[in-house]
Amino acid sequence: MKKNDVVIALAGNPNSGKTTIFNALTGSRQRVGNWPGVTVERKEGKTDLDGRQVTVVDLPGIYSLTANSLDERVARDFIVQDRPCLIAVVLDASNLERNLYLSLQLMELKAAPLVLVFNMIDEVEEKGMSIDLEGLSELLGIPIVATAAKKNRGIQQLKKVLAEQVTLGAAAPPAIPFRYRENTEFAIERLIQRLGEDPSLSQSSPPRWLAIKLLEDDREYLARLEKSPLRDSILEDLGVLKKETEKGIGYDLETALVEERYGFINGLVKEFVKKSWGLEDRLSLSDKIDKVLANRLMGLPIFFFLLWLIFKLTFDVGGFFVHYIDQLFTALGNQAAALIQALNGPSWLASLVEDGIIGGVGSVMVFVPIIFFLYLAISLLEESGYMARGAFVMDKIMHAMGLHGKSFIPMVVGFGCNVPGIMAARTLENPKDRIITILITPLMSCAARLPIYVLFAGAFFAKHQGTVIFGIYLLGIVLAMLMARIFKSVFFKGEPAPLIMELPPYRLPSAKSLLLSAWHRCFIFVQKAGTVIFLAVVAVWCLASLPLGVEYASQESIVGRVGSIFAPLLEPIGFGFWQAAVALIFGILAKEIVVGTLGTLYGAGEETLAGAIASQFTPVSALAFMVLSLVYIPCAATIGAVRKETNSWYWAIFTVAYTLVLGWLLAFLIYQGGNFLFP
Amino acid sequence: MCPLSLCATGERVKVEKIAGGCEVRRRLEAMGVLPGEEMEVVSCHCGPVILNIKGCRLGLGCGMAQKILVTPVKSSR
Ligand SMILES: Nc1nc2c(ncn2[C@@H]2O[C@H](COP(=O)(O)OP(=O)(O)O)[C@@H](O)[C@H]2O)c(=O)[nH]1
Ligand SMILES: [Mg+2]
Repeated sequence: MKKNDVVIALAGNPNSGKTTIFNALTGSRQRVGNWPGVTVERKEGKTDLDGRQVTVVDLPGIYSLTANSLDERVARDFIVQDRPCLIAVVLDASNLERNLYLSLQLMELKAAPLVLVFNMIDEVEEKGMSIDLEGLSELLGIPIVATAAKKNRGIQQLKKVLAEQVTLGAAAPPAIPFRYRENTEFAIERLIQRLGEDPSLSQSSPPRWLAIKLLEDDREYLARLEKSPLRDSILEDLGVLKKETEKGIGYDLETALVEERYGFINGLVKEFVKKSWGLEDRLSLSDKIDKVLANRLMGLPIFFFLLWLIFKLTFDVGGFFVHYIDQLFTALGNQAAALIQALNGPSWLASLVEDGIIGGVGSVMVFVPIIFFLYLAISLLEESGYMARGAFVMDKIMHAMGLHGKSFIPMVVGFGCNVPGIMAARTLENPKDRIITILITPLMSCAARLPIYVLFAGAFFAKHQGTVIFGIYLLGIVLAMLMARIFKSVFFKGEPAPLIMELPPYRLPSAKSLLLSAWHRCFIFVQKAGTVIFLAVVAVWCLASLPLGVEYASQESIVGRVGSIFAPLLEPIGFGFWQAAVALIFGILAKEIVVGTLGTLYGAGEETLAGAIASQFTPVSALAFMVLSLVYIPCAATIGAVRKETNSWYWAIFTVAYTLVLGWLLAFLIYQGGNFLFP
Repeated sequence: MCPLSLCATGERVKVEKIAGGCEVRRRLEAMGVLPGEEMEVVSCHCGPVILNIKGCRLGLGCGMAQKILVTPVKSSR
């Protein structure tokens, strides 16, 4: 983002459709979901307005300009400090009573000219409401555009209005037709006068806004006074003014100010919005669903049932395809090797293609169908509106375990990939809750670990494959909660923040958006297989073929020797052979590489790979291996995310250390215990 | 006047007072929960509460619901 770029910010309440609009404007594919807190960082994109390239910035949702959590701070700071040229305020038009509050604050702030985007206009129509857009726009002196971003309606009109506003440039925003009651206004005026005596104060924000914030006792604005030489006398006056005004009103000023804003908005809604009866139908359907899903007693069993259903679907439907894809890859490998031989190609090339690429990358790729269905199920959870309910239902248990209801969301997102899961922890207001959540999210089984489970469970527990894998997922959840409990009582004593969460209405996601979303994530998985995993597998193949003349993938090769150094550590947990050590070490780069490496070393597609594994492991040691893979050291990207989000190497290293120790101990218990019970 | 957590499902109530820190209060106020406001208790089982406020559904954890003091109002519907 360069200095004199035209920057348009998208601001608005969570879940009002900002990201959907951002995607429509810029052609991006940022994640959209039906719960507050999907977007946690600012995203930039370019769009073309009448031949002019402008930058559009998508921001996390906020309810007001007072930020409570990290994601809200990102949005607030961008609006207040980075000063975009134009702010497009996205509102859920079916709920103006609440959504207009932020708009009103932005009008008071006067940071930039505004355009109001009344999104979800389709829901407004469905509910039989009608909004007098022209009247409202005229009264407020701000352009209003109606859109239904999900259906791509109104986007052209929005572009047109944005283009107009951008060309108009930064004309002074119009005065807003909103006054507080008389004695409040009197106090504001007096304070503005006082603040005017120190011109440095009104540089960063308009004096009226500053005065209002000071009357509200806003800590951040009070801090700005600290530097002023007039600090003491202004504070004294502020105290007197507040006391006098409160005497006039009868209760505290801060509440009165908020109340008056809502009063004004209520007036607007009464005047410009026509509702018809029976419009609450949709929401009451949501309420009916909530009677079951968000029920105190049923909520939890239903959550586990849903989880189980996801696995059933993933394995039964996805697994069906795996077999075929596997055959395809094996045939491909054989053909390629035969072809190279037929052309008198060097035998090392045949080995690279058959063992390395097909054996390694192929053994990961066969799981694409399973992963596709997993992503499909996760997208369904995200788009339907269930995520917010999950946070709500789990709040009590999470509290007992030292977490916060909202920790549920990073955990579920973590099933797809731990990195966005860790990012999603930004919505937790309390820094302690947030760090605990970040530390335990790596224990969630991500899609990249799934191939390991499928491979091993398939080789040893074919009849109960689904159950075993489901068990591993549950184990991840249980471990996460236990560790949270421990971290809480060791590092982070204190009460978690109370849960306050909007529950958006349930929405039936369209098949198209679900498929697209799953396809998109799957594509990233395939892309990763084609790049990172490909390179890692080729590296493993090279190291397994060197030094020259050594038998491929023998203990004398470089990987063999390196693996042999670590193998004794794995002896007590059941798989003290070097191949396992090498797979686990390379797996730290990315968890898919565990299977990729085994595939390369045992030089085979999945079916024969399963055979090779069956000869090296026992059912008990296979179980220990799966559990170790779940817990031990998160992948490099996840370690990076922990470091970035906690802003400390300390927590990143701590995560590596505790997961390694915990994973080894569990595997030890399983292997030794299992052998003791089933000798 | 009683804590929100003790209200029954379906009751209409008016907020009287929000106890608890000013951060929490600001947060609630930004979402429309402020003294004098009327709202409907969509579900409450002596713990977490779902509210209908200004047409939005707001979920509050147990701890939070205990800190909001309300009085019942006669249902207008
Ligand atoms: N009915 C309807 N739903 C929409 C519209 N725009 C967005 N949505 C849905 O609203 C939810 C929230 O959208 P999102 O863009 O993630 O909101 P954000 O939190 O403001 O970024 C998603 O489930 C979208 O599919 C719209 O115009 N009409
Ligand atoms: Mg978003």
